Amino acid sequence: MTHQRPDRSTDPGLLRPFVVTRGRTKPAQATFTLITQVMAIAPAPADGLDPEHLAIMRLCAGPVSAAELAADLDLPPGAVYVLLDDLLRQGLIAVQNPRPTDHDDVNTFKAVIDGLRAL
Amino acid sequence: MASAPFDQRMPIAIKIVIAGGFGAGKTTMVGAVSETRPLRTEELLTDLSVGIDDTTGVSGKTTTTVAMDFGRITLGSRHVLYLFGTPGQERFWFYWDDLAQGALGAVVLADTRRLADCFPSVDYFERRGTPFIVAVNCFDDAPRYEVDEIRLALQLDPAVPIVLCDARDRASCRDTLITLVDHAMKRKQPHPVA
Ligand SMILES: Nc1nc2c(ncn2[C@@H]2O[C@H](COP(=O)(O)OP(=O)(O)O)[C@@H](O)[C@H]2O)c(=O)[nH]1
Ligand SMILES: [Mg+2]
Repeated sequence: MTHQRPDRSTDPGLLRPFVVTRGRTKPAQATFTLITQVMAIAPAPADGLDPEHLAIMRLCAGPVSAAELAADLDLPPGAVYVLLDDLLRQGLIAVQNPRPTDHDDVNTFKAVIDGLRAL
Repeated sequence: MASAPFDQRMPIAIKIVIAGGFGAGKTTMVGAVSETRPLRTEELLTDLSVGIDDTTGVSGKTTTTVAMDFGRITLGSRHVLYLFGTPGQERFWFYWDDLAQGALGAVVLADTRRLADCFPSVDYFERRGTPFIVAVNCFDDAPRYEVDEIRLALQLDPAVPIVLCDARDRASCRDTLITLVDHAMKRKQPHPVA
């Protein structure tokens, strides 16, 4: 499983995301958002994963957002979504998108207010 | 995935957008109240973003890097709050829909030395129906106005709260966020049961 490593001398900003996702710009299955929660649910297999996949597996031992993964990996969110989709289809992570109903529950607002007051 | 039962292993994620004109204090506010890290993102330029001047072209593709303020506030074990500062320039409008989508609400920071700079943000959230409040960032050398004067200048609905804040001060930012969440809650539940 070899693929072209990013050539940072060309353009670190542009090239790398497309290289790590092998040119794919859209995940095949699930939809992800910046605040989609991600969590590893199985150990990373010894081989078959790219370094970026492994880095995500390490970072999401506990729940973490797609935006935090993007920031920590210094990758654009769109590239992280593609990598997450790979891991999801292999059953290695669980993901959870915010539900529209979260904002219908007055308890959500109260919990956020209480949490902020405690800061 | 939307219909799957809620996975109790993961917290409920809440998003709040911090908007306002360039220099209004967005980066300062996100940094004062949350654990921050830079979040960068590349955009392929489309007709939506015509007018972008400093672009990088590689093999025919034209992109620009957009840096966003991004912070996390852990609220107990069940909730996590994420703050996103809007990219300052209006040329990144196409980004705002992504940020506003699913947001609990928005804080529009206003600088009274350049009040007009926050008009586009106010317009945007009004049109989108996103709950928002206006936080007047009290810069030392800025003219002081009564809240009523600012409301008039912004032609703001009387129901939209206006607060005075200091974006550098953690407690002030926290109180601003509480005002927003309370406002968003009241819009959902116009007649609260006691
Ligand atoms: N006096 C004062 N200065 C502030 C306040 N908030 C931000 N600043 C300063 O104003 C400048 C612009 O703030 P920044 O957060 O970068 O604005 P942004 O462009 O909206 O992200 C920075 O130099 C801040 O230190 C405030 O409440 N009071
Ligand atoms: Mg800024």
